[in-house]
Amino acid sequence: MDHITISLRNLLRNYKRTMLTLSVLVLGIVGMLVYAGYIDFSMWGYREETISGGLGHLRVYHSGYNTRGGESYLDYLMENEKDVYRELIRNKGIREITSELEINGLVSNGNTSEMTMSRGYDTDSVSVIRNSFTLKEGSFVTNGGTYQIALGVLLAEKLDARVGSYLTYMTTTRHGALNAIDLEVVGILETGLKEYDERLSVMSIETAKLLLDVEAADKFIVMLENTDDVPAIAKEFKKKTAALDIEVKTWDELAQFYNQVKAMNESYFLITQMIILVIVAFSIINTMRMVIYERMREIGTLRAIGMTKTGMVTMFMTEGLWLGIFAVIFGIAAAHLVAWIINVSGGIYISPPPGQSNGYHAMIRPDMIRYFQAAAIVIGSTIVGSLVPAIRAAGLKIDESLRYI
Amino acid sequence: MKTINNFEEAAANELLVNENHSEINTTDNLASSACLIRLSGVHKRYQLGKTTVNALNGVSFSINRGEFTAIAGPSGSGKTTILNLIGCIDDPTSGTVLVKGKNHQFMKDREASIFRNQTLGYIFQNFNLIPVLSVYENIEYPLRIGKIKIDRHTKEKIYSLIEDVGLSSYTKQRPDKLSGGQRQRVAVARALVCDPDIVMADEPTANLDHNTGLEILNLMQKLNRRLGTTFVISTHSEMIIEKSRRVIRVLDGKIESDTGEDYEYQNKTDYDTVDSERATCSA
Repeated sequence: MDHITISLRNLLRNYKRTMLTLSVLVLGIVGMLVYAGYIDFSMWGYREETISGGLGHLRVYHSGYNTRGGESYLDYLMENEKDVYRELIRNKGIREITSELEINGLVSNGNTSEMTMSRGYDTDSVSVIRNSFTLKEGSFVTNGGTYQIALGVLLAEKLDARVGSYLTYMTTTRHGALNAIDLEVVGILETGLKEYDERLSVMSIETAKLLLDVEAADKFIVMLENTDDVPAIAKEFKKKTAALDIEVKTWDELAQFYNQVKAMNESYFLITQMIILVIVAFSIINTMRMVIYERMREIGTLRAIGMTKTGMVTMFMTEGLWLGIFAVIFGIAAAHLVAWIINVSGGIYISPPPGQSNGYHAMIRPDMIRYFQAAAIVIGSTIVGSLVPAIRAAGLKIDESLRYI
Repeated sequence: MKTINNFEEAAANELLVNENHSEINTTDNLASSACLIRLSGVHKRYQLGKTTVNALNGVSFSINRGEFTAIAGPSGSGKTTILNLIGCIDDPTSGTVLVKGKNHQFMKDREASIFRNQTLGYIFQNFNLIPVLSVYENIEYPLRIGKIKIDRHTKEKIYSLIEDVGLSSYTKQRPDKLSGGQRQRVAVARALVCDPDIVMADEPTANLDHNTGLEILNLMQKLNRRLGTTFVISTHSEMIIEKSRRVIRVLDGKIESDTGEDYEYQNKTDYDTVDSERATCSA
């Protein structure tokens, strides 16, 4: 009869109390994992949205574009873009590569002029564009769509522009000359972000090159089959293109806002974990204290027949550990079940986040790492929670324990 | 007091042995060499709130190997305190308690625990069995605590003890399915499983009816004779007092009377370990 078996039997001795304690622990785990699943789903959704919303998994620039580019970014265009493209396309796991050229200017309907931030895309690779926006009206700028433009919905409103309208786009070329081209509005786009919808416009990269009087794109946007492959492919690509005078940035290096939101959510989750840890520890302390009072004479007897203080501490901590293990098993199972029910029922509706016009249905995204975290936290806190009463039990005077009624 | 005189004689004899390396006289030295328990000028004070309770006031006596001794007295007389001191589960306020020549006050917890496990067995008034363990497991548990390997030999020994206490049909039963007498039999077997030198029984029949109490007493006497284990019983039961070969009466924390050391068992027994024990008891 070892500690493991005897402590297990002791737990079942007062199964109602054990079940009550387990319920508290299981609820804690369910709360922690469902909340973590919600955060993970939100962050996963936000990540994919960020990536497919124009950022891409990888971005390839001319060396110095990010550090010294700034307003003179046109000095860092990818003059060797064909060589870079050739190297890029050789890698496995790449879904799409598109070149992009940023351009800022004024767009005018003859009466009103509005500032716009435009993106010139390689319109052969349309998925990046299509996933970036919702098409409200008309169509995307398509292949061969030189002299076409798609406008953000609020920008179109300001300019009183509709599909089929013509606008004049004015900007300065790379060499400082003023340039203007008339463009046909082919689509009205919506991003969900007010600031973007007021300023954004999209055109083909050929149009952007014409306006800026340049021959090259300022970046490649690379979409991979799988986001998890980013580190490996980025590493491989950096190695292969070391001689090409380019720099490669992964999405997470560029998505500052995503990283801030993630860090904030992780902080909230950490606070939740700490609260649950304290609840678990106090539940265990409370249960163990009751157990000790109930088994005072038994403690005296065990010490009298030769159990050491260490043995006593081990026995009570093993009971705490069992509670933790059961709580983790049942808690993870219950959390999985709750997540499944929420997901099957279509998720929980979340109101539109600040700055966005649409709400969404949050799902719960199970994650093994979160399960391990929860297991570690609960088992750790049950061990810590049972340590204090266990030390107290071991320190009891034997004769006093035996006299206890 | 006779017991004290015996110790003095033993010490004198030991001195003689050490100095002259000569053979020692038989009867007195057997008695002294077989002594297991020695209390010298033991005082025990408890603090009960703001009141100091003098539980023991200068108690001195010794108990030899194989004795069947009753420590008798009314409630609050100090008999359980004496048992706790002998059982190494309480410390005297002053004075010395030697069990097998060792003073547990100077032992670390681990050493004291091993000492209790291997040298002492306990029988309690309320049986104090572990409710989650079966009869067999309760008896086996002290061996587990003592980290003694449970092999075929030890299992046979446990079953033999179970047979001795008449519980062969109940090995898998939990204590709550047993009668009071049966529970106390389990406690007796548990107390004996580690082959202790001394078994302490604190009011072992107090919670039992007369006949069951008598059964338990007879069982302990039988085991005392057969195994040579020393039994020290705290009691106010006249039945136990009458059947004990030695009775130490305690009143208000003092020895009121002592029928004297019990030589009956020792005179019938051949000791293999006289020499080693002599040194211990005379220390």
